[in-house]
Amino acid sequence: MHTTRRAFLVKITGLATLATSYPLAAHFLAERDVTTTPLSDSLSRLLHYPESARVIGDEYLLQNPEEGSIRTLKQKINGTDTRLLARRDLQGAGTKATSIGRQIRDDFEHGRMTQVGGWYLAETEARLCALFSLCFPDNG
Amino acid sequence: MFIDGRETEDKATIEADICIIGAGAAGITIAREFIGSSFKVCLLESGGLEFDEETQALYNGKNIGLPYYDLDVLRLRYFGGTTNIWSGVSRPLDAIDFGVRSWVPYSGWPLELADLTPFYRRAHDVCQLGAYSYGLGENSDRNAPALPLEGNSILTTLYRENPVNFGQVYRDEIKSADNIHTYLFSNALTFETDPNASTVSQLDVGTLDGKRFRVKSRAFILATGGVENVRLLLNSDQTSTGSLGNNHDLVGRFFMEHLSITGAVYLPSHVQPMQLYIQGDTSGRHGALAPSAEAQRREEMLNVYGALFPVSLRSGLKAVAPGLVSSIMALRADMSVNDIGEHVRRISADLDDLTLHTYQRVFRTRDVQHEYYIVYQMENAPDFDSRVVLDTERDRLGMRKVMIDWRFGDMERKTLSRMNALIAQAVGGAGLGRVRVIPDDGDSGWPPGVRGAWHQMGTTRMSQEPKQGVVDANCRVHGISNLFVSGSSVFPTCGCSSPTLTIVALSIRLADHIKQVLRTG
Repeated sequence: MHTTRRAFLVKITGLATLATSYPLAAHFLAERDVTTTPLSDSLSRLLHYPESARVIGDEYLLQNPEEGSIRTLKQKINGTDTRLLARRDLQGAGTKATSIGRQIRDDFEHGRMTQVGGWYLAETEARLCALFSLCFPDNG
Repeated sequence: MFIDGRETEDKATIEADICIIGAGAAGITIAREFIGSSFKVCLLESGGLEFDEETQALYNGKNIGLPYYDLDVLRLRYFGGTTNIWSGVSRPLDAIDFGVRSWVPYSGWPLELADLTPFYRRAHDVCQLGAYSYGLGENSDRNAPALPLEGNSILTTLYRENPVNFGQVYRDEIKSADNIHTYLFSNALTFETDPNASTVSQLDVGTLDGKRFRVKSRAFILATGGVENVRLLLNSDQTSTGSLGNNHDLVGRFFMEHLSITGAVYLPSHVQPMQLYIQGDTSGRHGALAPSAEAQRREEMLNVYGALFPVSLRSGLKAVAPGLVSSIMALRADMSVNDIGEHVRRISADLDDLTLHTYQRVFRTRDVQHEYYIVYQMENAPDFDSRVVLDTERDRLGMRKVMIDWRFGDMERKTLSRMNALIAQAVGGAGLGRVRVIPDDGDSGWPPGVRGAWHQMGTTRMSQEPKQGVVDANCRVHGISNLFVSGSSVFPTCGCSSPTLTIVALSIRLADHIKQVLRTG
C-alpha cells in the first residue's frame, strides 16, 4: 500500500507543489521514475498481492487464450496510449499509476468490462493481472 | 360501528350510499375519507378482527404458471388485510412509470405523476411515513451520505419503511364512526346489475354459516386486492354480457408481480459509509441503487431498484418477514464472495486507490467493511397471458376459486443483466469496488430464489379506452356507472415501488371523486 498511499497524499495535499522547493518531497517523487525499471518491477509496485494477481490473471488468460503473450497484453493495455506502461513523467510511478487508474475508470465508464469468475472487472485491470501472471509465473 | 354479519337477519337488505368491499389498506383508507360526512358507508370484511383459518381458507387456489406462493398464504383475510403482516416499504412510483415506453408493451397510465402527487402526500400521512421527501438534496444527512457513483446511469433512490398495521391503527376510528357500518364475517358473492349491465343494483353477501343478505348502494367500491377483485367480477357472470366489466376479455389479464431477485454482490474496495443503505438516515429514509430514467430509455429496460444487505447478516435474515430479502435465503452460502472474491478485493483495493478521491477522508467512517447482496425489486412487464382465471372448483360459499398463471421472461432477464452491469460500471468507475453476478441455477436461467414480492397487480388495469383496460382514470369500471375498483389491480404498469403507498394515494383520490359524483348526482 506504500506507493498508492503516497500517490493519494500527493493528490490531496498538494505535495506536488511542495516538491519544487522541499528536498524531502522531491526525493519521494524522483525515486519512482519507471522508465528506468523493467516492466515486471513496475507491475510489482502496482499490484501488491502476487497470488491475487496471478489467480485473476490466470483465470483471464484461460478465458482469453488469444491474449496469452506479454506483447499482446501490453498492446491491449496501452491501446492508443502507446506509452501508458512506459510513461516518463515528473511524478514517476505516481503518475503512471494515476494514468492506469484513469484508464481503469475510463474502462468502467465506457462499459469495457470483462467477467472473471463472475466478477465485473475493467479490461485494463484484468489484463494487468494477466500480464503479472505471465511476468511472474507461479513456479512453486 | 362493527356488526357481525352472521347476526344479520337472513335475506336482509342493507341500504348505503357507498359500499366498500374489503377492509384492507384501500378499503380502510376510503372509509376513513368518509368519516364525519353525510354519506352512509357499508364496509364489508370477509374476516373478523383476528386471523381465522376457515375464512383464510376461502383464499385457496392454484398456480398454473411460473412458481408462485400458495394463494392461501399470499394474503391475509381479516380486518386490516395484508397490512397485518406487510414490511412497510414505501415509495411513490417514478415519473417514467406513468408514461408510454415504446420498449414496454401495454405501458402508459391515463395519469401522470403530477396528478397523483397531492394524493401521495396525503397517503404519506395515512401510512405514517413522515415528511414527503424522496430527494437526496432534501434533508440530506451528512452522516448517511449517498455513494459518489460514477456517471448518471445509476442513482441512489430513497424509500421509507414503516409497516403501519391499518387493522390496528385505524380500528377504533372506523369502529367509532357513526356513518361507517363495518360488517365483519361478510363475504361479497356476486354483483347484480340492471338488464344492460350498466349499473350495479345490489351486491349479494354471504356468511360461512349460511346466512345471505344483500347491499343496495349508490356506489360500490371493490377493494379486495389484485386477485380477489378479479374473482368477484368473474364470478358475477349472470349478466347478459358475461362477467362484469369483461366485455373485452381483460378482467384478470396482465397479472403482474414485482420480482425479488438477489442478483449480485457488491464488494467495496475500501470501507464505505453505508449507513444510508443499511440503517437509513435520520429522516428514516433508506437508500437503494436504481437506474436513471435516461438509462432506462437508453438500455430499454424495466424499472428496478437494488437494496443492499450485508452478506454477514445472512444468517439473521431468517427472522425477517417475507419480502424483499426472502430471495437471499435461497442462495447457497458460497454464492456471495466466491474463491476469486478475496483476490478481487485485494486487486481492486490496489487499483481503486488510483481513482478514489477524497471521499473517504471527508466522510471519515468506522463502518465495518462488508460484502453486500444486491437485492432487486424489479418491475414485471405487462403480459396479456399472465393472468388470473377462474377454476371449476368452488369454495364453501359456492364461488369459483382462482388460478394464477404468472409470467415473466426476456424483458426481466435483460433488465437484470443490464442492471448488474450498470452498477458494476458505476461503482468501478468511482473506485468504490467491484460487483459479482450471482450465477444462475443452471435450469431456469435465473439466479436461485427469484420470486414474487407478495404484490398482486394489474388485473383490472386502468385505461382511457374500454378496449384497453377495465377501469377508467377515475377507477370506474368501463361501462358501469356505479362500480369502482381500488387497489393495485388498477395499475397498468407496476414500476418497481412497493404498491401500498400508491394504493392508498389512489384510494384517497377515488374517495374524493366519489364524494363529488354523489353530491352532484
